[in-house]
Amino acid sequence: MLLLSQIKSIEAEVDNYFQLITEAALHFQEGLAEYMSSRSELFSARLQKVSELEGKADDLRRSIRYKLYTDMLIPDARGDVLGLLETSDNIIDQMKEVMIDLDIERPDFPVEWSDDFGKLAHSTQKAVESFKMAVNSFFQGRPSTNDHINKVYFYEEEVDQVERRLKQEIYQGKLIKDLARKNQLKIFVERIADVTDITEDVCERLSVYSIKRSV
Amino acid sequence: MVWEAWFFLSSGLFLGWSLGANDAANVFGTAVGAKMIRFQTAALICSVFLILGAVIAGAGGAHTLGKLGSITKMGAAFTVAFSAAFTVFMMTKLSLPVSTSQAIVGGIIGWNFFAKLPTDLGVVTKIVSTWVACPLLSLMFSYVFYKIITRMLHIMEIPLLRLDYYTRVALILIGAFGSYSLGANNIGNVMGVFIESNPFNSLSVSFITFSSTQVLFLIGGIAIAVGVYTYSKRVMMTVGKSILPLTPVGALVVVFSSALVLFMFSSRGLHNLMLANGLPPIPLVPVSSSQAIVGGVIGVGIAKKALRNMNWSVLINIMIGWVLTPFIAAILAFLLLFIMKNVFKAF
Repeated sequence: MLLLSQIKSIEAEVDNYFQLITEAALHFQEGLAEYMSSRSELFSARLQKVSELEGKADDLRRSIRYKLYTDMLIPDARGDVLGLLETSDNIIDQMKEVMIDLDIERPDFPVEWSDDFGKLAHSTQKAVESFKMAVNSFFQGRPSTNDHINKVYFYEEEVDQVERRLKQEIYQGKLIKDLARKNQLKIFVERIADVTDITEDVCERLSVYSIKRSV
Repeated sequence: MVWEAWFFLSSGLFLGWSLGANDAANVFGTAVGAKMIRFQTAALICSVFLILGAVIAGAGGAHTLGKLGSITKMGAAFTVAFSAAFTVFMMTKLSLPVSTSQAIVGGIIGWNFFAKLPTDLGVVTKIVSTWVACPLLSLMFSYVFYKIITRMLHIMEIPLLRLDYYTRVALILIGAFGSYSLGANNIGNVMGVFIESNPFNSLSVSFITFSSTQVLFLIGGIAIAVGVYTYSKRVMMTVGKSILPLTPVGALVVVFSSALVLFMFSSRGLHNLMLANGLPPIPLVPVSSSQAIVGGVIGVGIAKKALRNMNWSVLINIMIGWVLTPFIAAILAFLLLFIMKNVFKAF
């Protein structure tokens, strides 16, 4: 069985893992802004940073999983913690994938939509930040987990509204004529919005774990 | 002579083995069943502390059983212990929860009837009242402890991983205490009937001297430990899920409450402390760890307002077992004593 100091070191690793996801969300937000401003070098640098963070998060997740499986944690709690780590990984993966595809496909978004893209990126970042706070509360044994989860739901709703508006612009507006381009842009909007959808899914899971711990 | 003594002791050792196989699960069952603690770790801690409890503090409960009926013939003690062991074995086979304490008390009363010895009704009342008090006390303790602990956890906001760590450590510590209490309280069931015909002398190992009764209890304790190692794993894997599913903290509270009850009914120190303060002393009587656990689980169920999740049919089965065990053991002891005396001329 591990010593208390080792438990504290795992706690620090878990905290660091979720910190990496939050940091990636900030670079994701800034990266989208760079992309919309056609500053491709700066966008590439952001993509590079998100990829690095994703790699570090993967390494940390494996290290935590190994430690949790080999020597500690009551199986029920271990399953919850590992489930949380694995599904949270999808958030950072999605951000990286969107940025890679933006880099490869270079879809041409009209400048008029910059504000909406800014809101999309901002709400996504806020959702991930609130998620990190919910996770912190959960791991610290504080009762405020659900308050932060509710904030995630709020930002997810915000993202949904912007997503719907952008899709209407794509198909009903006059800025884009070509159907192939319309479809391409729609897919990108959906994939950006997927980051908050995934965050919301992880929060649903976190909410169940939190209820389980409180009864 | 030596071999004859060991042969007659064998029924007590069998009873000890079945106690280890069944009752160790009451202490470590939830933890091992839910894979919170490895079986090997649980078995080692359980065995060591069971033996310590039996040797250090086993005399009180055994003394009360002695007052119920004194069996001076080794062959008769063998038969009484065998009747109790066989009753436990049969009831277990029928999947009816069974108490070794009730089986041995039934067996001793069977002996009293057979030998036409008077049964002290005062002692019987004392023993039976503890059978009722044991699950009730455990219920009360677990209710109160559960309320206190959940409140404390709410206030203290202990981080998740640390809480898990503390729970594991507590499960081991409380498991050790539970094993000690089980050994102290229940060794009387296993070896109590042999005290009057004890074939062993006192034993000195280095600077420690064991009295002849302690040697008897040490052997009984080892038999219980063998039961823990050889057969308790299967029982541990099934226990804890049948009455009410418990959280790790709930399991902790149940084991601690029942261990405390077993300790109360076997602690001479506590007994003397009550006497010294003019309070009614707690009787030193072997009680059933299974009954204590059942009381504890119901206590947590009430505290969690989860009684609707309780498996009441299991509880009814347990009640049937409680009522039937002493009667079956008494009748069986009477019949076997008759056969042993008249057919085998064993005593």
